[in-house]
Amino acid sequence: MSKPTKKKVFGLLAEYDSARAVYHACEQVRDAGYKVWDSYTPFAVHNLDKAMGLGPSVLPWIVFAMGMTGASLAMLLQWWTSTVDYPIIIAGKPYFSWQAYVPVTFELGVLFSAFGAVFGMLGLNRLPMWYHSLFNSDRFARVTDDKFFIAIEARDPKFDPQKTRELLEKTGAVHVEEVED
Amino acid sequence: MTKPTETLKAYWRSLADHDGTLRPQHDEFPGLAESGSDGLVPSTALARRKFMGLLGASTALAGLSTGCIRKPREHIVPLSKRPEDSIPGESVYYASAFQSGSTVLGVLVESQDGRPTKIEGNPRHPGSLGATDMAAQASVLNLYDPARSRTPLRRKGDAQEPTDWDTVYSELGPTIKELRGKQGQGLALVVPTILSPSLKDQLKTFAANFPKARIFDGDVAGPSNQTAGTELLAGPGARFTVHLQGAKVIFAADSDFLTTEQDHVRLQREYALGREANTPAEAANMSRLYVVEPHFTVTGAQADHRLRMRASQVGAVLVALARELKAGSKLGGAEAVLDALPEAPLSEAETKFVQVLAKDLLAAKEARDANSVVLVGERQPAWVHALGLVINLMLGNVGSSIRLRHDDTAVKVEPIAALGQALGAGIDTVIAIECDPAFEAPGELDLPAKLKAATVIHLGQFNDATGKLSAWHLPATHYLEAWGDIEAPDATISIVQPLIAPLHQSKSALEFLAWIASDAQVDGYSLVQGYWRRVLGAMWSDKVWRRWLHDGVVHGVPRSGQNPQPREFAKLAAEMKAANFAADKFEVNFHLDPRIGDGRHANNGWLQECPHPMTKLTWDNAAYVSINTARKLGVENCDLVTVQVGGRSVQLPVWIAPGQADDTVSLNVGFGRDGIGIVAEGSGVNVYPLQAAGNRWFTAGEVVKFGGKRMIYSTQDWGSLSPAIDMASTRDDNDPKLSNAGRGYPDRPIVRETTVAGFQADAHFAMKGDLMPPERLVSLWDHNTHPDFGAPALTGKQQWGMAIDLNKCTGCSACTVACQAENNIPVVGRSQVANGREMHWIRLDRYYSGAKEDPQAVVQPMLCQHCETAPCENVCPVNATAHSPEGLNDMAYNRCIGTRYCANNCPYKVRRFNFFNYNRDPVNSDDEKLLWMQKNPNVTVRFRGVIEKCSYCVQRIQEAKIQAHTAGEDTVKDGVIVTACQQVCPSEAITFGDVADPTTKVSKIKASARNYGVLTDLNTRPRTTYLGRVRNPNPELAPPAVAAAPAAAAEHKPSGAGGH
Amino acid sequence: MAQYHDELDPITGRKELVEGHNVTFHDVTEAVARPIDAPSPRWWIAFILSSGLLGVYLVSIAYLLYMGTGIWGLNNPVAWGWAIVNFVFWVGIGHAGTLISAILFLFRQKWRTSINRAAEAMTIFAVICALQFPTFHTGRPWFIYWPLPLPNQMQMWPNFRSPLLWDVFAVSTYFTVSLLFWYVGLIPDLATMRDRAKTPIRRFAYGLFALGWRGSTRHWVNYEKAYMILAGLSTPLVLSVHTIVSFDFAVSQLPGWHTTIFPPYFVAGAIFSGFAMVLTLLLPLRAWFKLEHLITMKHLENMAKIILLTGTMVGYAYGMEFFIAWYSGNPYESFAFANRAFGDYWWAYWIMVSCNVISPQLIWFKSIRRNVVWLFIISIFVNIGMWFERFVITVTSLHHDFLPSSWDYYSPTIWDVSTLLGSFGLFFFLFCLFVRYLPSIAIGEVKSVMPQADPHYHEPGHGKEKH
Repeated sequence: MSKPTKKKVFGLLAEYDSARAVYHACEQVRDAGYKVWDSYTPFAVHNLDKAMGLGPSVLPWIVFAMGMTGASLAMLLQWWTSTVDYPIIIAGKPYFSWQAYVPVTFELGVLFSAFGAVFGMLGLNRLPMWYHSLFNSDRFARVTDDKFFIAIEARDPKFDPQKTRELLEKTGAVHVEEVED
Repeated sequence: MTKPTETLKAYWRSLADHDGTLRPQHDEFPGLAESGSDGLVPSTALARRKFMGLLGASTALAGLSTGCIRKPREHIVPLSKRPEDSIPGESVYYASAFQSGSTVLGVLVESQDGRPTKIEGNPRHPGSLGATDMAAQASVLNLYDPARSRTPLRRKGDAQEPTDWDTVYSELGPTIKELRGKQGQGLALVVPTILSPSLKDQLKTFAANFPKARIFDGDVAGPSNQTAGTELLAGPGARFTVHLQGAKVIFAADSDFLTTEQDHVRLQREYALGREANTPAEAANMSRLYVVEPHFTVTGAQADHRLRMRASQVGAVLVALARELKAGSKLGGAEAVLDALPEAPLSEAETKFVQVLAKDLLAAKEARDANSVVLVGERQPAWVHALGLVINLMLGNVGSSIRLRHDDTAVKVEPIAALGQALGAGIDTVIAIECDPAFEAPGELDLPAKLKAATVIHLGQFNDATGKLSAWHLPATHYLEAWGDIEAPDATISIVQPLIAPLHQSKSALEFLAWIASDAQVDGYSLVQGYWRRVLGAMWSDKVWRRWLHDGVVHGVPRSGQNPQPREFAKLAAEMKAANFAADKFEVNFHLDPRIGDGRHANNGWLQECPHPMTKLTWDNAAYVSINTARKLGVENCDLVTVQVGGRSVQLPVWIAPGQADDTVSLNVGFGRDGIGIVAEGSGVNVYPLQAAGNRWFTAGEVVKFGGKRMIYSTQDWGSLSPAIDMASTRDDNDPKLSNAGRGYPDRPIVRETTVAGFQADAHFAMKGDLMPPERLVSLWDHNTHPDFGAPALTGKQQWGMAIDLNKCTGCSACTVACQAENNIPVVGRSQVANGREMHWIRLDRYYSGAKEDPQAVVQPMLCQHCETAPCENVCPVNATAHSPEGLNDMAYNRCIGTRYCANNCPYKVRRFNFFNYNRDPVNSDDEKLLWMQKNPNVTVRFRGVIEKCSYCVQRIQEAKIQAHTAGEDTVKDGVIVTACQQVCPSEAITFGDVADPTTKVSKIKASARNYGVLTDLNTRPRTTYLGRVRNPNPELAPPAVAAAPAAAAEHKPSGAGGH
Repeated sequence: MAQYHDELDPITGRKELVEGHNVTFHDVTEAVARPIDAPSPRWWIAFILSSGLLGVYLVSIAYLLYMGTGIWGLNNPVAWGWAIVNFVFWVGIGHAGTLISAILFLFRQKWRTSINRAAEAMTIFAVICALQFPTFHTGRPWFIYWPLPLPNQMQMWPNFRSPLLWDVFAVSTYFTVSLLFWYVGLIPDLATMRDRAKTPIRRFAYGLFALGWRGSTRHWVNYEKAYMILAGLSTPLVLSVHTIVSFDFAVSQLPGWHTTIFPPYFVAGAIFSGFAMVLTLLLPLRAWFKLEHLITMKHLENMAKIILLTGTMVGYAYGMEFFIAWYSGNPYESFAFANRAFGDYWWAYWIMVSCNVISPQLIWFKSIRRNVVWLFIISIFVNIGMWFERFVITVTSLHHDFLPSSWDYYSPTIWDVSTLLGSFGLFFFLFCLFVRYLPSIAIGEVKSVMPQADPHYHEPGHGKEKH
């Protein structure tokens, strides 16, 4: 479904055959100093993020914060309900039987952490995002099957339709195309 | 929908309403009569407002026509206008009296805004002394029994058609006139045991107007043998009562004087007082009970020495006893008897027993401040009663423990057997009043067929066997609906006053007989008051009358000074000659059922579901046989056997009853009373057809295996405290081939008992039974020992607790029924009990000890122990059960979601679950409403899916607290709060009160050396504790097996040390 | 397809996890996705059967709600019957999935990749089944939400000391986390399904849940981290859940329940039953969908070994219980266990022992653990045995506890049976839907463990043949 060429350009999409190929290609693009670009693979290719020169994920911090929140909320809830709001004598046990409150505290801690992990991940990845320019490329559909891609966006200051295309072809792309926004 | 105010006036009957112009014949309950009418059911919203406005007490009643109940609709019974000095919602008590057989209980009837809801004993009445029995408790349910006949029925061919009393008067009247015309020729009057002076007065009139008519005794539960025996010796009108104060040696000869004999409530009290054993010293002074009987009864379970024997041998034992006593006693003219004593063949054990007993009796006779008594059971023939009286005479008990008196107004009635011969031979018309001869008469008489041939006029509460074959069946009133009076065997007179207008078109026996006798339609009130006006003459005054009504006991009635003397010894001698002790091959015994009596309470769900005190069977009777007999017959529980007596036979299931005499079978009468109501229908088997005309209570017979089973169910499958022993089967528990999980494990120290000797040797025998010595039971959560752990203290000013004295509890089970009445506990029915779903809040655990064939038995009331560290509370996810600051383990029914975790975690298994919506009556909504009228408005009626359990009668506690509060006191005085089980208990085994205050009765009792808690090793800290039982065996007889019990308990103390 | 000669992974030097001659990424995609395009007749049979059973379940529950828990065989003292047995049984089964996904993931057990998807699905469906029982066994199921700390007109809060309440939190947390874990794992495969979808509806449906995944490496970084963290969270979680379930019993004071060995013993039992159920499900699945080269004999063997291990642990626990009961010297305790083995329910006890302790011992033999038929039979035995374990624990302890007066016998009614069978209907119904519409093997993960997935992988020599 090729569109009228007056469209704004999203960037260049290069296709590779193997994990190995895209790995080395990434290293070159990285060294060429591009910033606004990304690689696309059917599965997480080991160390490809290093090859692209990406930093570590901040996700663990989100999860940690959420976990702590969950656990403390749980303990707070149990303390308040059974000690402050409506103390009831149960089996002659102390109102604040913290030993008995550990399981719930733990479970809520885990629950909140899990929420943190999943929704944090989606948030960081700006997902869900049901439309993306790359979906305009028909070949890109195989990214979830067996093909590997690199896309350098037009927004990148160093982006130049001609030079960039040469660079990508140099990296051994089996096919390079211009993707419209 | 009729407005509540219209329908509800009818419920009220105020004391002031004394003008005697009641109109019982006009139905006071439109809401109930018109079937389908919703008269009693205002819309929930309206009901709520009214209920706030008028009552202020919850009468939440379950009942939604679909299965899926969330909240019960609420039905209310408000008053249209508030009668003088009645506080809405506050119950009022009226004095009355209850009669079953010849036992009379003065009662106080609780009335909730016009609805009688609960029976309590009248402390002023010497027959009840504030206590009652099972039957009295359940009688209030009979009042609301939907199966009661509601209108007179007239026979039309094979059918009975409803009619009304006017028709009865107009159409039956002539027949009666005609009979009067021929002086009652061919007329038989069948009556129950008549203790009512005014009724006796009417009988006199009847006898005067119908001189040729004959009067028969239609009461199975009556004391006919005892009366006959007494009159045999002491002349007509002679009666006697038994008194146990100071009786140090008690010999019960086939006499279950603690549950079924005359005056059993009073006797239980007196017996219990004689068993006080708070200190070893006191224990030494305990009375000693000897029992000989064929069937293990409640009395037998209390015995210090019990000999199981055929009923026919009991006479022989008395003969032998008389011989033994000959020497040491003043004969008082009884020589004639003693010389005529026949040969009594006794076994070695029996002889030994009699010798020791005689020695004991003589010792008691010699002792200054003591006496003894020999009780002969009603089941024994007249001459044995007479002989018993002679023996008491020889022991000098007459005047002390046996009190003879002359019944001035005694009515001469012929035995029912005579009716059997008379019918068809001269008698063609039978008037049966408040009895069911067609059902209850001995089968040998073949009465049903004979009655069919005659014209029968039947007045009864049910359209029963007699009613169904009668020309006229007329509804009789319940004693809570009618005026009357009763003279107890000890001559105490009480006025029976109604609490509610008759629910149906019914007449009292008094009113009916008055009409028959003198063709006058007078209401009961006028009849009763009129009679007493005449008796008192000048002494009469309204004030006296009011006093009588208020006290429930009559004072100042003139008596003839007559004093009967036993002197007709020759007659007895003659009678005895006829006695024959030749042992029959097999003996068939009949017993009144401890619950439904002779069948008069057969349609009462509370009693049918109440477990038999000894066998724990519910909803059924059975052929009780000993383990040896069962082995001989090759049967196990529930196997069908045929019981044959003189060609008549009945099939019923076998139930192994440990302690039953070998080669005897015991049958409870009164069951299988089909056709009177859904409760009685199919419950048990009718065994009256087996009874012989001569001696109806025991006779020679045969038992053969029939094949097949009829499943019958007991509420306690396991009868022993040793996990190895299965009392309910004939198996040999020590058979090595048997995979017997419990073998080798010691008895569980649940019930703790010892002998007087054991008690004197070790006063703390009970506590020694604990698996964990108290000093080892340290709890982190004890706010006294570990205040820093912050366990909450129970801050209530008063701390409630209960003590139960196992030395006094006889297991009569009255508490079970009383609790059911007080706490709106539903009846679940046979099939549910079959699956162990009975709902009783207090149950009586019965454990056998000693040899499986001839064991001893102990009973232990088990109810919520209100543990201070209750395991049930900890596991409830929604806090539905929690502890009150006063130490009660509370249930919040409306919070409960029914996880049943608490029931699992209760070591005492006293929590009950509403598996279905049990409070919805299965019949139909109209009947439902009738039954609802009994409900206690101060107790939630539980709905499906929630747990319930004993609350220590929290509603009574709260009521007492409110009263104390209004009286300006900050605590409730000791003894003000009385739980339902405590109140009903004839032997005062249960004490409730404030355990925080050392001066209260319960605290003093708990201080006893015999005090112990059940399963204290779990550190549950139960508030309910028990006082260990002390038996008083005669060292000269073989020591009973239980003497080993404390030893057994002690023996696994070391092992227990390693426990939890 | 066992005739494939094992190939060695050129980098790890280990046996390749995906068997076959130079399987390409595309082959994997096709192998997994093809069955989803058109269901086999076998699938229809399974689906119809399970729908029938599901119907049985719905009827049973409807009648239960109408009449009340009385329709079951419960009584006093046995207030917990099959419902609780089934609950523990299903929760136990629900453990293998997360265990395979999480713990094996943390241990870098790459062989997990081809079975974890189905195992996780099984977990979720098993937990759904488990949740049915505590809900409907209550007297008033319509108030089942009361254990949650919600403000209400009674102003009451739940009792946080109650193990049942811990259960509520533990099981619901476990369910939620397992669901998230499963879904996160699914996202890339959903994208795959989206991109190869033929019909617009499918494209839309898969696309919707794929959330617009496009395999971006910047996403993979966070994704992998999230997955790793979820695995890390699930590991203690999965252990805590059955520990807490065991508290339901261990925290009470009932002889036979009140034992400290329960938590580890229950967890072992859960893994045991879980893996058995995974086998029961995967053996037919791999045969019907021709996935033998993905779910290889190596996978089956590994699972069999775990079953052997945990089964032996469970056996040890059985023995230890008896020892402690005897050693405690507490008459109630020791009787409770004697009663288990030789009392009214001796048959249940010995069924349990022979299924759980004896039958797994066959796995010692290589020939048996490499034989799918044998494995299937053993897995069935273990499932039965583990159900009986819960039955023995629940019922025998209750029916004969402290006071002999309250002892009674418990037997189930037809409704107990129909509810259990019905719950299997619910389970298999859900599982059928799963294999029909979702990739039952983690496509992306399988690709990532293939040799050519490694960026340093060199095509072996020239040409494709290799020796």
